[in-house]
Amino acid sequence: MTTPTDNAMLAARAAAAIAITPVTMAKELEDARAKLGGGLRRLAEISEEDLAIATVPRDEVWREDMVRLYRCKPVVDKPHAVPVLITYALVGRFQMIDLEADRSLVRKLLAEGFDVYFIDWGTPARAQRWLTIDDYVSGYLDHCVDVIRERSEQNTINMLGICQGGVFTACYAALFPEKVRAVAFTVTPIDFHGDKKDPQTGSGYMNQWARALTHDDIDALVEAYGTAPGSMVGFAFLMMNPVSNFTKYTIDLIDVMGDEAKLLNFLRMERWIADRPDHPGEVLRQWFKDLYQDNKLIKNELQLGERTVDLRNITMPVLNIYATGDTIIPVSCSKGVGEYFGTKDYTEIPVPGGHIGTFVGSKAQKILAPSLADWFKQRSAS
Amino acid sequence: MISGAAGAQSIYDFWLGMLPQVFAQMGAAVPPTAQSNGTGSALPFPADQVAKAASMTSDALQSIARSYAPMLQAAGAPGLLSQWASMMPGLIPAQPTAAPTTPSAAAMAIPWMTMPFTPAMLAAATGQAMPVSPAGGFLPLQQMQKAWTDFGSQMVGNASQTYTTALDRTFGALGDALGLGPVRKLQAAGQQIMAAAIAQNEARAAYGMLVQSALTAGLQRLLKRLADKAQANERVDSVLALMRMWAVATEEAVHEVLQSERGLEATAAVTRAGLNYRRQMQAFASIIADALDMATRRDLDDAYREIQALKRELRAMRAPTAATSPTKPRARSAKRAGSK
Repeated sequence: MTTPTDNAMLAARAAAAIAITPVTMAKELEDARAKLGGGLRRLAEISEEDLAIATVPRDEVWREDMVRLYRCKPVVDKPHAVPVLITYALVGRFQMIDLEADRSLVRKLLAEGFDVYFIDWGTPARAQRWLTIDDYVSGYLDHCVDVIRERSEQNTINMLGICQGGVFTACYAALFPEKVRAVAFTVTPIDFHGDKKDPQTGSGYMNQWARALTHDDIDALVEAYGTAPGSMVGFAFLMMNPVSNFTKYTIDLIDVMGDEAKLLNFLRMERWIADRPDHPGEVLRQWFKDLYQDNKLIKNELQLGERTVDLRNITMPVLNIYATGDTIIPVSCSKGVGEYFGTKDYTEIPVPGGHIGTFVGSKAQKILAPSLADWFKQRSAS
Repeated sequence: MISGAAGAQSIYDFWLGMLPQVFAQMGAAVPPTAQSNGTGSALPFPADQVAKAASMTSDALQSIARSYAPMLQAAGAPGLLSQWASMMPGLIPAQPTAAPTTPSAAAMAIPWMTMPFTPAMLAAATGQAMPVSPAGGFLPLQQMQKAWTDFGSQMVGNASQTYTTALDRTFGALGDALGLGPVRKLQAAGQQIMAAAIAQNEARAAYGMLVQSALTAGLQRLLKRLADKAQANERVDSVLALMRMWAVATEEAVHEVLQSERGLEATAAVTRAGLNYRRQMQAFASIIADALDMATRRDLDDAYREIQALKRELRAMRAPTAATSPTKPRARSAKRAGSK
């Protein structure tokens, strides 16, 4: 056991590494304050338009309740015949796929000649507390797919699911395989207990938190909240890294505010992060009990309505993209899950960065969209 | 534009409220004027929030420059480390030669992070105030625990039982007799709320102790890394770099503690306590709503549930779309109202 005296000796040795003088410190902090001051002046000139996110030109082609289906305006004369439907998670807003013009998965796919659709799940209110995963998958998602099939005159379409939206997409592909040409997952948990095999400090906290609770606790959570407030979900994410979030809003701001481009990137990302829709309680109940706690997806035991999701029905080509630094969806929950699908055409691609960095990180962007584009093109040609 | 604007604001309020406390741990004071001077209030969201954070950071850096300079002058690096270590009781014995800590730092006996994750998010979601001292900082942990224990014994202990029984005899029966509503039920529900509030704060305090241990471990980890650097003849010549080293070391320690078995147990306990408190509040409100013949939460939920069930029936009645032709699937959705 470490004693205070041991610590005092340690502190004395540690002090030897510090070469901060009053003069250097004063200059450093004055420079930092000057950058912050410059940043404050920049902030004063920022308009609402500067902070607009998800501005890709698009048309609303279908709506039901709070859900909207958009078709992005193609940027080529003759897009690929098989459209791509992007399905994002409920815990955040779809804007992540088009955060900024130069950090946009959607725009890159459009530039590759794809006909791109995406779903905006909207903002569920209290009336939506009884919506289940089945309502999303067999209801809204199926309607969207049918609309796209009809508009494009294609029997099958390509699907791209992101995170929780990837799980919905997997369920859909298993329940309606006849409507899906090829399916891609990005940062999607498939094996919800994967983190047990490869526990990493600082990763998979949500998995562990959920398992530390009982089924009754989850029921109590849903009963107490009905529709889980978006702010609660937002806090859950932010508090996974509480100290980093302190530096993010303080000393890390110094560099951010000293650079106009970085500042705008930061503000747009903050705008997206802050926009957390409420989460329907019954989805939450099933998400935590059946998936995080009981891992029913890979056991082919997940019940949606009267049907069971059997991943072996996913016989169409599968592309699985995971982020090597993902701490929200641990790599071990999304990597190496090909054995659970019925397909013989399974591809895995790692991208550098974290969960959200997959879509906005400079390194990841060089891999994500080109990989998706090549893969979908190859699978859509036959 | 933002779907949950109030929720988003509550998250920023939480973080921005924390900044002065964290800086205080480093011996920096953020003047109250900087915290509430409305900096950036005319800016679009979230530029307004970032402007507030930047202003506070700027003030804190100025404070650091003022308080660290004499400390470095008098005691050098040991003085600076002593300043930080003084926030972690028991880590390092008192050093008479070290410069005195600032009053604001000394007042921060409880770390800023005693409310992370579940307690914070539940508190934010329910709109509950977090326990704060009259000065705006968190109460020292032991003081907070004692306050709640005392409060508990006063409100639900034997003395209070006698008091409430007498109250019930005097007014409860009378209220019921005159048709003034279920006074006894409300009294019982009120006691349940008190008990749940006490249990919640006890769980929070236990959680806070855990985080305190993580912060101490984080500082110790920082010292080890600095010692390793010294041994390798490396030097840290930047205050900001030193702060970042502290943040990395502390984050690691926090992760280790919160992901440990006892950390997860404490988190689960605080979650349960928070949920129980909310449910007791709902039960209380439900009694009042019933008495006033107003729709209760359950009434609304039942109605919403029925609507959702009807929607499902409607969905099941729609003809399934078959892949009838290789190029022309049968139209379905476009014929429905709402399709465009």
